[in-house]
Amino acid sequence: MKFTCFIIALSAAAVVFGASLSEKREALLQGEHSVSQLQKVLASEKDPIMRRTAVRLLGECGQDAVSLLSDLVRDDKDPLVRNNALLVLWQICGTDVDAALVMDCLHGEDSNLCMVAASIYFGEKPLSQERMYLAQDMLKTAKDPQLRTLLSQVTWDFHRNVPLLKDRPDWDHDVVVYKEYPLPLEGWAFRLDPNTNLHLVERCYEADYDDSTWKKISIGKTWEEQGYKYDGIAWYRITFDVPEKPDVCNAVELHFDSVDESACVWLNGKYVGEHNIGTVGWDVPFSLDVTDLVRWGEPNQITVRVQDLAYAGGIYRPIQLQIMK
Amino acid sequence: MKTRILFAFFFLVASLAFFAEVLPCAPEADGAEIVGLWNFSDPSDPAQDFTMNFWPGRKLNGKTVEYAPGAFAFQPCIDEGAALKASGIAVKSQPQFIPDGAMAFEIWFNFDKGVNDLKRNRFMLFDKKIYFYQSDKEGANGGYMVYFDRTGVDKYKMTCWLGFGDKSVETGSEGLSIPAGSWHCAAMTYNGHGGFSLFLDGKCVRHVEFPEGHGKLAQNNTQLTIGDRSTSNYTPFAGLVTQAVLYKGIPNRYGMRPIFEPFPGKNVFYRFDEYPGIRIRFTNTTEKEFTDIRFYQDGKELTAMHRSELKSGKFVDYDLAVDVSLKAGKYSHAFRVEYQADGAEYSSECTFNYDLMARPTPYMPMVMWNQGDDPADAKEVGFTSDMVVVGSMGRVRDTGAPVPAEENASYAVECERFNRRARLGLRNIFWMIPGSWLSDKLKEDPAYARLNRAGKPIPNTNADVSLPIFKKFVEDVGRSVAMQFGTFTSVEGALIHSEVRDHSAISFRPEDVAAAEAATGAPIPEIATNKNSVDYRSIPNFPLNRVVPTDDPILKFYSWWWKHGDGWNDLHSILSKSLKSTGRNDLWTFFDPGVRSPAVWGNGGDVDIISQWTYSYPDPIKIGESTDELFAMVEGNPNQKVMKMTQVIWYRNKTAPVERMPADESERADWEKVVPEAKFITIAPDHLSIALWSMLARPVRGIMYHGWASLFDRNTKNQSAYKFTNSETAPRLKELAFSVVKPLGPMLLEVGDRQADVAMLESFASQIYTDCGSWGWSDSWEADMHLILQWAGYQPQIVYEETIRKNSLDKFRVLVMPNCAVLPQDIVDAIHDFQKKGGIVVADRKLCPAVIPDYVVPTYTRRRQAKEDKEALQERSVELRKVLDPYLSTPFRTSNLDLVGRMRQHGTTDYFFVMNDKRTYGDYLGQYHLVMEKGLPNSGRVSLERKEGFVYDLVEHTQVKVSDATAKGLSWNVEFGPGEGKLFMVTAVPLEAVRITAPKTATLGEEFKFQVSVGDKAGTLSDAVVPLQVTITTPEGETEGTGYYAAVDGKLTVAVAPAKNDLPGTWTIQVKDLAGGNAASVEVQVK
Repeated sequence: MKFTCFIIALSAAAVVFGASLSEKREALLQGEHSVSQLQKVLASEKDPIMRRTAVRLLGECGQDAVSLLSDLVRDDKDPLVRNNALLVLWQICGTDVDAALVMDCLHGEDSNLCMVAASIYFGEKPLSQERMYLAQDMLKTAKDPQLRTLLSQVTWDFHRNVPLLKDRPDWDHDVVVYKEYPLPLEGWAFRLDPNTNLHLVERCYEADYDDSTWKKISIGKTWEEQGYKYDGIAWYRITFDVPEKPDVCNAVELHFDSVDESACVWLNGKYVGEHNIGTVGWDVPFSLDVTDLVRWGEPNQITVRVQDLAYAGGIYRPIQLQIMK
Repeated sequence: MKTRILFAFFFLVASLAFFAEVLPCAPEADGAEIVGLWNFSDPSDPAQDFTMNFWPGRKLNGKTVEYAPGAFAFQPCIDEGAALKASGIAVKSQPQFIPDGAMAFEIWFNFDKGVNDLKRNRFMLFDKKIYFYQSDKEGANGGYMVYFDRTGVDKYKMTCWLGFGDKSVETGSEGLSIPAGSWHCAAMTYNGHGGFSLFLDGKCVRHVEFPEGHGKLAQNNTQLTIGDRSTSNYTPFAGLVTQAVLYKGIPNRYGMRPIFEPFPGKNVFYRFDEYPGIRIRFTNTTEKEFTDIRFYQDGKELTAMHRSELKSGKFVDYDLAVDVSLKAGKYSHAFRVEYQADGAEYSSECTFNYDLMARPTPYMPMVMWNQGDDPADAKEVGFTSDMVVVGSMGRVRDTGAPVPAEENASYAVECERFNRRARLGLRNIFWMIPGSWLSDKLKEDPAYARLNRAGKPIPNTNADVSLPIFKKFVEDVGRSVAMQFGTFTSVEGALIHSEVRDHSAISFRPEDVAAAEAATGAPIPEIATNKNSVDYRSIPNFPLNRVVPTDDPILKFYSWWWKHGDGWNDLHSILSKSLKSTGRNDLWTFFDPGVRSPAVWGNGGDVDIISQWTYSYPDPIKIGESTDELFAMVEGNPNQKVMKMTQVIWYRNKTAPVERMPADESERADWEKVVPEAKFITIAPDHLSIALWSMLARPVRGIMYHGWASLFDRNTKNQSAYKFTNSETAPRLKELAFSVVKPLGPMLLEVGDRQADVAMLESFASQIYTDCGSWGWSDSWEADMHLILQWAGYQPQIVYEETIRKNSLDKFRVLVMPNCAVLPQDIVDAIHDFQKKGGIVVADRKLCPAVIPDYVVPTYTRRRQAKEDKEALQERSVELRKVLDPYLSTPFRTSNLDLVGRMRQHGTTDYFFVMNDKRTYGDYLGQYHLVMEKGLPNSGRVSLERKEGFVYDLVEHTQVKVSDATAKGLSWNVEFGPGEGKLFMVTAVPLEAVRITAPKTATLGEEFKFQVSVGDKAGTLSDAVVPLQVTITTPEGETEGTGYYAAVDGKLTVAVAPAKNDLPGTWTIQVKDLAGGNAASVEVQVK
């Protein structure tokens, strides 16, 4: 109530005197809004908060504002005005936002706009084949982590979210490797997946999948070094022995010294997680938690799906099963 | 009178004579029968072997046992591993080694000086049992064993196991000080029908009367081993043993005298203590019946206490109250009991010495969290309180009910811990954690474990404490502690539990599933397995705009789980209540870490205080974020308050990673040369200072520190992972304690907070659905956003979604929304409403698309380069300020970003805190570039939006000259030392005079009051809370009432209670206001 009285007083003052920005904005917020009124504000005002407020208020004008909002998305110099205009369009039109505008945003250089557009365009469920292909295509080049996350979500049905022990918010202790068991370097089953759909058509990540017909390959060196001049997706599988559970074990992690470039991992048929930060990830070590998935004192089966988009590829450095304490 | 034998005196003298020289010349039967004697002064002399079963010169592991002069040496230097093999003197089993009735075993030993360097902590004295636990194995529950467990440098607990056939029973002493390199005598006695005692150097350190049914010890065929365990898992004694003696019966020196002594308890009282009672107990520990028992106190017979008889094994108590109206000092009462036995007359005497302490003046608690056993040093640094472990958990579990105090050495030791601290003027906090204790015992048991959906125990989690057994147990423990220690007035608080939810997990026991459904109206959501979050990306048809329904079932479940579902919060509430079951409603109970949880109310249950610790690196003002989170948490519990802790320790790997330490020792920092392996090091002093000011700038009820071993050089070797690596930190803390916390603490407790214009939302929905959140660590993007706001000169208030539901956003002008990717519909509606009313939304790219932001702060991922990271965040502060300035005036401004301000308020008075956060890389650990630990001087200008007022520097106790008082506000120049903070009080009325109103005369034994008022010369009172220093002087010197106070609204009333044994004469009352420095004094003639 106190706040409202304050605003009314400010509005009156803004009319009578040469008002401050704050007062002008308070005045703008009052009453009904028309597209033309807000368009004037957008044209005359330079202050970003004022202009963004005007964009937001366009949402109250419904379909009448679509044209102006579309123009703003395309042309406004303020990235946040463009971004907000697209968000308001989304609020007004739902997924029926002008497809050409959305496509322009998806392919434009403004990553924020691209992100909003992707949320609109790929948010539809079930996703059409056409949109799925576009998402897969964009994933190859997208650099923005948030966009990559969204595109991965759209194109990939496997999800697991188990933070490493060191990253757990409820763990106020040092985390160190207590014991370490290297995975075999030799004897891996290997198969190229140029159609990128082995997981769909053959469920080749299952623990009991028959990979006896696959080629053999080593890890610790790239697949190019072993005769495969290939960029794309390939699968690695092996079964390895895991010892009895040690006396101390706060967590178990699979540590990859590096995979060129991205990797998705299954252990005993269960999805473990992925390393997917784009092409820059080719020499970045990573770990994935397998505490609940590892089987002690028996053979364990691991499957790794590697995607390499340029230059050398594959699991070119060793992998260890690490016991953390 | 001549015919009376001073029975007790005889045994006292005898005992002293016997134990004065611990190296025995000959065994002393003393009323018992020696059935085994092993003297190692000359192992070649078979005559010394009374049993003829002694195996002298036995070879151990192929090595000939070495003999020290006059003693048998065990393998002191052997620590663990393969080298730790049988080292004891083994004697073939004989039935007389376990006498049917009373027995005693006595052994003389000398710990090797190297014992404190050993990693292992258990050292066996003698063993005729093997099993230090109850076992179903044949013969396992027979015989006896006694060993030491080392608990610190030259500190041990002596433990005994006794076998009664169907069960094995453990009992032991509390901590004992046994310096290495000196001779001592340990003994155990058992009377054959439940009466057991342990002795060290003739003094009983544990006596227990086992319940009915504990008769003679059970036989076994185990060999008797001196100085080691009889079989595998050897735990050899580390040092020398010169003689061991086994008795049938109990030598008189070990118990055939009655015990007449004060019951263990409080012997330090405050004046007018609410619990002035003491108890003197007379126990007939002899086999005879006493008659005609008469008690005397200070020479005067207590006729009401006369007893005609006292049977063997019984006791009689005399309860009295000490006079707590006397002046502070040391006092004593003498007690005497006279009685007859077998027609002869006897008497015993004892004294009760106690201290009467002045009542504490107001203070802000400054707690050393679990400091160990150095209360004098804690007091010296300025701490007001430390922690003492209590609980009687084992006894409570055994009996299944609350347990009262026991008359034994361990209870006496516990009491003395409190007494010792109270005598020093230190207050105490109970350290309890019974839920964790029982959980540790039961978590592996499927009947109590947390179960996954498949019904299997979830590894690495604590037990399912929502089960009734845990509730009953913690209530019993709370009641026990209240009964045993509730009268200790020096105890002011209690740590209920700590860090318990870290090992909690969603459990699918049928009881849990039913409870969840009853509370939420739906089964546990299929996706809910991880207690911290679910992944919204894996939820089919998750809304595109990431707005979930207000009554979203997943959020409903997680909200319930974090409030009640895992059982811990309810357990805290039960324990907190039961601790006060004897009327100690003044105790403040607390739980920490209070915001290591998602942003939902309820963490800590109904404890009085929640607290949270913070590691100050890399930017110490970040402690403000978790403090503000605590305030957001207690918004859900109107009775709950906030305290805050700074960690004295720093993680080495976050500040100076060992793997990056220079290989060349000459290039290392000094501390790295001393403790290169340190895992936890000492906080830098400038960080400590900035963090302290950041805590005090908020209305906390107390402050805490943890990491004692990193604060002082204790040469603890292997005893602690915390290492002392910075000698400047403790002196800095002391300086701050005495110049800031103590003088200003009472005032700070009375000053409220200032309504913030800027709110920062920590979204529960976003945390649960997108696995984000600060979780109290202050090292997330939310925390960095909070830093951006602080450096920008804003004073953000953290709000939860529940806060918005309860209070709306109407009081705020700006809402900041870091990581708010998913929001409930009602929160979105509230934000829309806020924006319609003019509110400005500042967010980041992750913002839920249903909210249209007015400004987006570019997200920043830290590069682990402290300077670069700080600069990047401060750039965002500058940008934000530039955008918001036209819309948001702030109550204060500082001329550079490193002068961080915050305001509190009382009436028209402002309390303006300014911290100097200008820092650089120092030579302590700055070379790693992870922390800028070294503060730099800073100067600048500060200004307040208020147009008029009188400014006072509360640390310098002086008025500040305001150099610019314009229509825009007040401003003045400031100079800061490294890491320094300042507190300015700005009042509407000048503080020009202190006035004291007191009676001219007073009478000893009668209370009088004086009033203090602070205001201008004309007598107008200030509406401020003014810090005052009061000194009351009697002809003997300063007296009770001297200390620091707060004059609320310029007024203070102090009651003075001259004791009847105080000196009459002129009493002087001096009062100084710690703002303007004005002073006054009056004299009172006390008759």
